[in-house]
Amino acid sequence: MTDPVLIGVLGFVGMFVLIGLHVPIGAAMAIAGVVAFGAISGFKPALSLFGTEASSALGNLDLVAIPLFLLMGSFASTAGLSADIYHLAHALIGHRRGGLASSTILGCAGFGAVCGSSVATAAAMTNVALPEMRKRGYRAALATGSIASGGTLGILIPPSIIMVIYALVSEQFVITLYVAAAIPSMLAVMLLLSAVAAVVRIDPAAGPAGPKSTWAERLAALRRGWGVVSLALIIFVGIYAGIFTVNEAAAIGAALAFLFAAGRRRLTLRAFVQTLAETASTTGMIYMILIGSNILTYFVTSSGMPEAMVAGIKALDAPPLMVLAVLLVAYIILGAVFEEVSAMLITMPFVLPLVVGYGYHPVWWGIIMVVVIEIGMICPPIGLNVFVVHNMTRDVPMKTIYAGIMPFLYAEFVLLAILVLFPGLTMWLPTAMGMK
Amino acid sequence: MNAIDRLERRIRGWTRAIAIVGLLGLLVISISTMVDVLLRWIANAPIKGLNDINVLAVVIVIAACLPLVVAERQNITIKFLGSAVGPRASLWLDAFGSLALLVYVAAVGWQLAVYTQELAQAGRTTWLLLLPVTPSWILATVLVLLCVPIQAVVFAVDVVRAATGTPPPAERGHDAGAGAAL
Repeated sequence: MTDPVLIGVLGFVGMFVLIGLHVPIGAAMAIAGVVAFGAISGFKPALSLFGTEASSALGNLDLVAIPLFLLMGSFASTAGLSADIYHLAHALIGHRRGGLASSTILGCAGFGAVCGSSVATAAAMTNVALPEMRKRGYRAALATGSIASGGTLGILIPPSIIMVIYALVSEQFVITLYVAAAIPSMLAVMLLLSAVAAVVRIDPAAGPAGPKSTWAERLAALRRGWGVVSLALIIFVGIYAGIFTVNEAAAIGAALAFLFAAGRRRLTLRAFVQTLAETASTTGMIYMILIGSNILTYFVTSSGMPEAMVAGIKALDAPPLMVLAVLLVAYIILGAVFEEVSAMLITMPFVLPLVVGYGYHPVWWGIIMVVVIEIGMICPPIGLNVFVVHNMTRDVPMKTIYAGIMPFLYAEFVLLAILVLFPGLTMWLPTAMGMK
Repeated sequence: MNAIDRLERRIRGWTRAIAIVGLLGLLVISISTMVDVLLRWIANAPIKGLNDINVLAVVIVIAACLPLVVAERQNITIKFLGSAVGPRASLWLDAFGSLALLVYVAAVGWQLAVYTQELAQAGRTTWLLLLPVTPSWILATVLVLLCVPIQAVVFAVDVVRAATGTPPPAERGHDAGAGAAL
């Protein structure tokens, strides 16, 4: 048995078997990758992959944006920046019917701009927005649904940690992905706001109107929100205007968020230690997977499996859109068993060449993957954001949250369809800025 | 099991301390980078060789996080099969997963040691300040190798739990996935 493609397929089957046997995903990818690569090229070079791929991950300065953005998000939460941005949106549009749910979406979008994490955004907004919505008499479904779905904006709106991971694995520039995400992010916010509008139009009692904020209250909210607005502006303007690199933006964001938390006297020793420990734990977890993913990618590429698969699928003469539709449905189904980021990393070595083979840009596919991950964050049966909101609001049953999610899930599917059917929407800005 | 639980808790405490020291280093990197950007922007005078220092520091910072992940069992695991085969078999699957992770961290540690040895022999230095890179990589390799005995303890605990049918005290991060962090 010396056919590299066959060995590649067996390696993949072996990896899924290991994952099924409770082997951590990073280890499963690495072990399957090394064993299969060993069968193709010999075990001495295969074993050395553990060293070369681990050292390239540990020593990769571009990857340090991941822990830095994580740190920024944690300090921003501790500093209370999520509450500030929510209260700002609340003061401006909170009085309208469904206004608090819309404020939640805008708050999530704003906080997403200083925190690249979906779950952290949902958790922060549950603390801030849910009590307000309950006080106003919002239906639990709309209140929790808007928070869980709004939280997903954290990974689509730059700076997104998942985009850093995708950029590394697909060998694209993070900055191009961030620029490409601009229009899809705005579209996502508009669609989620439309979902709120649709819900309160059908059932006005779901999100009753409230008293209008006075101009004095609005100004006070604006004054309180200067921190989060300026932090987001510094990062956005800095990255988009080319004043600093993504890594520098992450470093500056982390440092400023730390200074905000310390300056507002919210950073107790306990909170500080907790923030560092949580960031360390998440960072280590991501690196464990990335090392495994690097090894798997190396083996898959050397096996020639992607080329064989692309040739095989192209021979079917299926329209590209149909192939994409099958892939996207497969990802959403895979998301029912797998956690989506892992699914993306595991499948990337052969899916990306296929997508590129059909003439699509890897940056566009990266944005599509992030939207698919967003859907996975709220889609039953896993829906991590739903779990987060449920954990923080034990009295609201899961089925109520899932019912509340549905309008937003439809909005996400509409977003996905638009981005798939019109790739130009995503790629227009990078092309206009000469990044493509 | 109490003694084992105590040992696990103590290991978690040590690894947490290591990781926090590492993350303090990351905070220093972030603040120094901010100062560097400001100096570059305002006075056109960036800190000379900061990138060289960061390259050396980042390796240690990241490696310092790994023992904590192993000790806290924060690796992403899909327990789809476990819920289907019953609690006892699921505990044995956990033990098997721990063994595979032990193999993984041991192999990474071993090959990183080989890599570091090659770096030392080549006398590799940083680009601008010509600082030797070997000390950083030695420390990083030691931190990665530290994962091996820690994971060995985790594996032993899992075997004892599987043999006695004792469920873990509380699930710690399993099944969560990278998405839980992102």
